[in-house]
Amino acid sequence: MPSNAGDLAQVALSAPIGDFSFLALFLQAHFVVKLVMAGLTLASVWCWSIIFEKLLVLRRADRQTDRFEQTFWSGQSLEELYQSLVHKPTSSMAALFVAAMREWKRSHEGGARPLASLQMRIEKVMDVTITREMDRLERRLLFLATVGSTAPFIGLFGTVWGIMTSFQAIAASKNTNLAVVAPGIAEALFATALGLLAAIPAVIFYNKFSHQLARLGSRLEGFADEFSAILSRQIDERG
Amino acid sequence: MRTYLVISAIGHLAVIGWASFSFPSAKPFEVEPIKALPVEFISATDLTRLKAGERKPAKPVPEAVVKKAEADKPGEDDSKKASKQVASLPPPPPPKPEPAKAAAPAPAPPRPQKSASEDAAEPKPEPVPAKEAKKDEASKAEKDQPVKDVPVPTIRPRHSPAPAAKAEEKKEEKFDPSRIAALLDKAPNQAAPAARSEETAAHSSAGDPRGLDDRMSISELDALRMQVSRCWSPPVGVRGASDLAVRLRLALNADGTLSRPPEVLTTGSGLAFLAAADSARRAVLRCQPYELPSDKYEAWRDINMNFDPRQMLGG
Repeated sequence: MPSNAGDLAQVALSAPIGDFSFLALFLQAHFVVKLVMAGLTLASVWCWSIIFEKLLVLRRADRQTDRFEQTFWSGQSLEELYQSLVHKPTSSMAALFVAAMREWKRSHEGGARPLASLQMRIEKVMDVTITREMDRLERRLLFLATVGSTAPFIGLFGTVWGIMTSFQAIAASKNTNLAVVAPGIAEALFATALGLLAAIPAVIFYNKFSHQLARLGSRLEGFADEFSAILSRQIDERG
Repeated sequence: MRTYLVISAIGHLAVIGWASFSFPSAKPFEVEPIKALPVEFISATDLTRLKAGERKPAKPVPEAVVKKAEADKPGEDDSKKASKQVASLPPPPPPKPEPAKAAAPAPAPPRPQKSASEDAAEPKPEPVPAKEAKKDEASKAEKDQPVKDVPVPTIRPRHSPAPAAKAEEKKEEKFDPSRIAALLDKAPNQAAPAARSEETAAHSSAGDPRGLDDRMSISELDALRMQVSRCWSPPVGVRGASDLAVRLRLALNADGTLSRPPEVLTTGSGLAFLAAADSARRAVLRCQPYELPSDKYEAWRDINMNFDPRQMLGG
């Protein structure tokens, strides 16, 4: 028995202890696990670039929509507003307004009588504009959702693969000492850690962005309804 | 989008760099070396001996844990303390030094002395054989601890070849589980070899040059006793046969034959006693050569043996 314990101590001492820095964990890993880790890191990089972009874009969209609504309801002439915005609509709502106004003006420039179909056309144009604007804002958001739901599984795959190879190493070395098992499992678990690291911000920000976009979308819808009501009154007055 | 990508990549690189520098490596666990918890096994013969000991009249048995090798290992204060604690658990006997054992390191398996089992075999313990006067220290120790033949599971460090501490318990509290648990609790600290107070009646072990494994185990003693008892016809039918316990001293050759005629140690008078002594002597002479482990010749070269008719008669 004592000699056995001595052997164990010997093995424990001879086993590599300590080097668990990120780089070492990455370099020690199996090729597949390395691939997983690299992919997860890239996914994380891309996720965060999307997050930064969306944060700024959505904040700016909110602020500009607020400003546009303020000027729109301030009693300014719609014609002036249209002239100031027609070349460079500042927000989604401004783009919506410009599209509707353009359609309205086109129908009037010919001096033709406003028709009931004008109302329908304007609504159609506004719908299309809302869809296009939301599409622009929602772009790349799907990637966040994908990463948020699949990165843990990818990391888990790397972990399972790493543990598999480390168990094969145990079987080969015919030694069940924890010092033999531990490094392989540690480096394998690192893949899961990376997966979670990529997935958690992705999920959090995806939820935040989708909520913000839904609110923005409902604001656009509301504005479109109100504006089409105004235009329809105009049509009836002129007609 | 490209600017955001660059920002994100730079941020990731920064995080990775910071992480790889601030977590350079995991701190290795400080695993305390597992201390062995040695356990002694009591064989069936020990148990029989234990039971035989119970039959004896209640006698105050001082129980002593002799700490030993203190001078040898002055550094081991903790262990000394530990063994002192062990000693003081039962009603406190003063620890006695036992220099006779110092020369011969005790082996790990429980190996009570020959005379211990002999004492157990007879209901009436006679603690002071005459020959023990020969050895000063031995007999002193013997007088101090007249009956000490109730073995108790003891703990001793597995790795130490030196004599280990042993707490002998009194007869009346022969197997107190809670006490044993207390002893076990102390066990990990008890790294130092401490002497166990043992009977020193056996002539063999004191200062034996052969060192380690020179004492006979109980089963070997039992084997010897069985070989003798086959040839022994105890004086049946004599009045007071139960009192005719005879103690013989056997001097043996390495081949198991007697080197001298057996010597009667018990003093007695009367025809009945003479008959009993003769029967015992005859038995010993008739049954030689004895089959004993030759590598322990030192242990059984000079042996005391009790011939107790009461034991034989089932009394």
